Amino acid sequence: MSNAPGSFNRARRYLHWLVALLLVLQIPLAWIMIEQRLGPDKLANYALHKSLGITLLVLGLARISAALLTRRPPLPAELPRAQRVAARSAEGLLFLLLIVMPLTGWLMSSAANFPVSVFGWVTLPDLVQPDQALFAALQNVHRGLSYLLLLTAGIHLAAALRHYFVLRDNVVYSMLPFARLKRR
Amino acid sequence: MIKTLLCWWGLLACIPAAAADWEEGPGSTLRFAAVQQGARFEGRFSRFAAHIDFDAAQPGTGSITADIDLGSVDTQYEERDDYLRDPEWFHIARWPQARFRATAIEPADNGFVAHGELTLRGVTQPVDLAFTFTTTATGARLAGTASLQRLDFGVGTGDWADTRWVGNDVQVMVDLQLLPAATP
Repeated sequence: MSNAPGSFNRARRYLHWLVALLLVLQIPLAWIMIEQRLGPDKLANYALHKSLGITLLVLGLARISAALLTRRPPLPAELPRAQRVAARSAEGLLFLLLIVMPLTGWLMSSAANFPVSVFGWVTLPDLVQPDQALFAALQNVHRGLSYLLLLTAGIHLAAALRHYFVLRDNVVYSMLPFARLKRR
Repeated sequence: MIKTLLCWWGLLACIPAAAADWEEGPGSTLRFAAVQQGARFEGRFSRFAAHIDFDAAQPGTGSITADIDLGSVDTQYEERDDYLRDPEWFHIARWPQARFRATAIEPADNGFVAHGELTLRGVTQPVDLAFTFTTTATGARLAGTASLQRLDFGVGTGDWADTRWVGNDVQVMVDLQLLPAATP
């Protein structure tokens, strides 16, 4: 796989933006479906949310594998230590949420006796027996984690924008899917 | 009542004489499975009464009657159960019970088949129940399955007539632990 020096591995770049796109769909979809009156449209949106969630789980596992197998470009040398730690922490938390969010969703579905079908192609096994109290608890966890995800992704995005527009370094370029490192 | 007690006290003497008349005892289940959002889920009815007149040696003379309290539907998710009781689904305010009645029973592969009629939501349609009948220490066990299509009975009206998110096919699984009937 050809990789520009100073860039992330190509697979990692594509996976990053694919995950970002799916998350941008997933969160508003969740808000819409929760508010919908019970009917086929609501079920359709839940089915889509679950299918996209399991897709994100698979992509998350792929991203973690790629992160372990390939080297990442170094952050700019002049970046303060605190910012490096913050950046790495946010990324680590995002990776973790990318796995834990779908898993809690899957657990919720099992606990509510609404098994998960991925785009109607494959039905996932239930992780737990139906249990309404467990479902209610998992619902709170899933919702709470979604806020944490939004917050962390927001910080991640704000930092990226700062690197692009203010610091004008190569950090964002190193992750762009069709990037050529043009500055410096 | 006295007869039941006598049967309990003297099972061996009683069963051959009363073998033809049975009713459901503890441990009997009436479950159903359907596909929702592309994934199979199960539910059950916790209240029903079955009266079975059956002698495996003379299946042709037997009959099966079961009255099902539709309000006792339990899919292990309260919101869904409430919704199933509503007019769009079972409409229990108008039709609180379903009844299965079969008077034509014949031997079949691996057991018997009862050609019966199911009355559900005011609609009567033919439904076959394939079952096995075995004697047990306390009486007998009738285990069987039936397949039906919910829309044949008008279960799921309006938008729910669309079978994309809630499938049309419903499988019913009965497992009756039979005791000699109190009143033949």
